[in-house]
Amino acid sequence: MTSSIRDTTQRLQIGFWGARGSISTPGRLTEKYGGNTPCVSVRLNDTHIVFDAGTGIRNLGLELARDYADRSEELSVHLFLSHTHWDHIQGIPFFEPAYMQGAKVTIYGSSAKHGFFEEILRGQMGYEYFPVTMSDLPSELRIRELEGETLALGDLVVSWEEQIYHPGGSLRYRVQGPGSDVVYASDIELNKCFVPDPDIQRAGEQKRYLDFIHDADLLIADGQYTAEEYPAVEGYGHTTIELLTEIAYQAQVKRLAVFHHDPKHPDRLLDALWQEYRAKYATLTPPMGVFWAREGQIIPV
Amino acid sequence: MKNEGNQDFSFHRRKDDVGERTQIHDPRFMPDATPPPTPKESGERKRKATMRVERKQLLGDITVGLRAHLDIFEAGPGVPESFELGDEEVVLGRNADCLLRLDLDHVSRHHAKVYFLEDEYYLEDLQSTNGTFVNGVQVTRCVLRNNDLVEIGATKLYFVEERIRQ
Repeated sequence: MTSSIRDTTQRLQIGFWGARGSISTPGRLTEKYGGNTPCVSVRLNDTHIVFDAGTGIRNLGLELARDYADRSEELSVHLFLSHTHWDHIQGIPFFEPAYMQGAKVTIYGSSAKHGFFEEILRGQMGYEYFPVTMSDLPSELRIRELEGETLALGDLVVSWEEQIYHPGGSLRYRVQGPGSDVVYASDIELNKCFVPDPDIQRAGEQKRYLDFIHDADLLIADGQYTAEEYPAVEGYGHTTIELLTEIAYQAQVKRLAVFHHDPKHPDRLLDALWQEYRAKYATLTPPMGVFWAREGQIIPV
Repeated sequence: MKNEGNQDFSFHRRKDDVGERTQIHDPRFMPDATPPPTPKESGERKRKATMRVERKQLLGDITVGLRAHLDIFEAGPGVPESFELGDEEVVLGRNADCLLRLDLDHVSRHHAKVYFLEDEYYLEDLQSTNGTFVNGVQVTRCVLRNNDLVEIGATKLYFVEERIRQ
């Protein structure tokens, strides 16, 4: 049986349950990095933070259910959504804790939806789409639009900012732990923001982004495309790997997990990209660790 | 919806435990309206013999299993070059009770373990002092894939798997 990953060293445990962007892509070509859509967990003892609810959240839910099956403590999960595009919400109906009596599941999202956030989530579990509606779920489920700037959860503090360079907008998050910080910043087209000779708005957005990710111990960020692919996908709302790595290094990020892999990118290509960028940034002074997020991996930070 | 030809599209309301819902009945998607054939009289399909068949005989060339091992490099004397993995959990470390003993510097007494679950091999660090790495990334736990490089202290282990017919 899978062992329960609990912290004993006050290090954050970061779980990658889905790292694929846009649509789930199962099969031999994506077996190594995985085909499930975005879901990342941050765990410190019994504080569970989850970023996005793509199809990968199903496996996380199964593990949490196994872990808490024989425990007297109640499970409480804080699920932060970057936005409500399909690849970030489609796993919610299959999230096992939502079906557990007594479990607390709180879903957070942008207040920029002007009151529609809850309606959007309930809509995807409408009876015509799925046989169980949100109201039928036995867990204690709450949906909240984020207000203010930070939220304290156990020994962790979560902060967030709106991202405008993605169709419909998205949120980025930073988790401050006892000894390390992790940033989750997916679904943003930094190529639209980090341009030569930026106007005032772009210059301001650049500074906000750099400040937000500055000195992160781990940055999990959108790097869906190669620079060669970009002209054909400009405006889709995602960043090139080349630009992402440059920005992360400029912001003195210690480790970068390239995330939201393109559905067309097979394992072999991701391996080659990893090899190239890892070598490039490992040899700089100071070095920056670069790796490609991989489903089924839990790393300490 | 466009009504094509003289096909009849009817909308029915039904009540269930969730509430009133609408269903669209389109003849194009309904099962054939031809009445089912009447059962044949007994005797027509009389069994002549019974043959006992092993599941393996039927599926012998179809079912696929997983065979895996660790190729071990830079482990020093006394450590095998290859270690076969099965269903049994394998603890790696310096202690004598480890199934794969790595009595080397920078290896903890019980450093990591490999186990098999739901057709996957997992590697899990056992809170070792110097960490367990997969392809250069420190991991607490990781699903292993073919040709993954596992580093424990100075020892390098390649995870190798192959699909086999059973």
